[in-house]
Amino acid sequence: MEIRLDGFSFQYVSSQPTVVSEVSVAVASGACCAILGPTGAGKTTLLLAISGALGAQHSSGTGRGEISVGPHVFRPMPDKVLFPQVGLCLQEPQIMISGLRDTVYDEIKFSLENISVDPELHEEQIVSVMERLGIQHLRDRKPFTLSGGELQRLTLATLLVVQPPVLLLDEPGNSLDDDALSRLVRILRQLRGRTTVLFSDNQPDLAILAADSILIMEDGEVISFGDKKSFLKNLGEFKSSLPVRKWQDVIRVLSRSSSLRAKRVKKRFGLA
Amino acid sequence: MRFGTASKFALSATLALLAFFLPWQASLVLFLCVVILEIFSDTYKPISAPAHKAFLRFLAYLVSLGLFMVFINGLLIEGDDDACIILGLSFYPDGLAFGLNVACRLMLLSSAILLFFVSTPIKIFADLLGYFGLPQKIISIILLTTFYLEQLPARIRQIFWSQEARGAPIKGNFILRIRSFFSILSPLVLSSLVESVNRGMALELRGFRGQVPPSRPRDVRDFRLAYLILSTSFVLLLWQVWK
Repeated sequence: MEIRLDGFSFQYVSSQPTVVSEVSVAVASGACCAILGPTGAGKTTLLLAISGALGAQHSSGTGRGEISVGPHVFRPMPDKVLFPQVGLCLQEPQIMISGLRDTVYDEIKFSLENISVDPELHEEQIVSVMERLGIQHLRDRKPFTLSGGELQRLTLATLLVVQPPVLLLDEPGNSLDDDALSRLVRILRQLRGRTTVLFSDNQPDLAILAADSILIMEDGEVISFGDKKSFLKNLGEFKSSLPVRKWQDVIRVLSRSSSLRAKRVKKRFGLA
Repeated sequence: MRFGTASKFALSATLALLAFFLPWQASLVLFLCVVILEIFSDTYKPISAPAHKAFLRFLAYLVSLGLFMVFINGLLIEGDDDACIILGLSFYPDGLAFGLNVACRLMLLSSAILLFFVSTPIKIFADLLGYFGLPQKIISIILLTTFYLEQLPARIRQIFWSQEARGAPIKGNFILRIRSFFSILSPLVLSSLVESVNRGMALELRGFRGQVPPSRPRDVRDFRLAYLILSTSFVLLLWQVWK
């Protein structure tokens, strides 16, 4: 399902500045797009708007432009949550846990119950999602006894089990160690071609590893949008938008694939 | 024989109902039965060690309250009979009987209700309510409230520690504690409001609109037994009213 935003802007309160301003981007069906930018850049607002949660929760806000999700065009944005067509995973995974189910398995099953799918018929599907995310051993654990990384994977499982054509992830790299991050990269790569993925982050390493296109935002505005190649080519331009500390991650990631490129980047930023 | 949830509920409801019209001797015997059931029966086995501890603590308060009621009523309610003097204090038999009646009723009523909740996880109770026809939206509200209450002590502790780390006078005399109470209360209320909005949004993002289908009864025979127990207690109640 293609995602398209045409001149989309949003203001929570009319007396306050615009949180997202004139955003126009298109993400092809089955592609993976990273939204990068510092805190307060408008990344979360953008994801909430696409999922429909912004329209449903902040009806008093002012929006302009339009958002298209597949064949559906919303002006300025969807006014109700688009689940199960669009699945959004919020930044804090513990918030995504319903509190209505006792075990990890039941928590995943809960998503199927909500869309009136008989979960007994889909046990195989639940088990397969758990295996893909490496949480099958947590099947009978209480969701709130899980660690940050495990919770992150569980919330992802609760969304993936309904196979949404569009998956939105708000800073999924938070609270993940290196292993969990590699697992997430693997999952995002597996979804390529089947699910349109948009994820936000304030550090570029996950984007470089998993995304096809990268959108950079600052103060609600789009600074750059293009494929990964053009992002890497123009790295220097984004130095002010992303904290310098994070550039070390870029270099670390780049150095995994091409030491020559890493050397070039290091030299460019005076880090050699 | 191990009862199911429905029979357990029916038995506890019956005990609570009996507390309203049985004489104090019978109420006292049933109260002791409740204690024995909690400690020795499989059906009313507490869901956790802290639940068992809390139940015993509650019983201790209940017995103390009962004794206090008997003492006060015996001392203050005069009757036709002569007072008996115990340890230099005059106790009136009518007052003692009234105190015993009220105390034993209260003890049986509250312990019978608590006996059910100590041995039944709230989610199973919610299933039962769903089966009895309570709307799923209300059940969800009950479940979410209990879930929030479960999280509350940890949250209070967290706020308490952060306030202490900021140098707020958390420990000290009574006045200081009262003052510090507000520094704990406002972050607690604010964070609760923010979380309830976020949690509502998260549930909506997972397609939840309070429409989860009610659980199917697990054991039909158990429901038959439950209805039998409840009907018997209603017959007893009607007979008592008619008498």
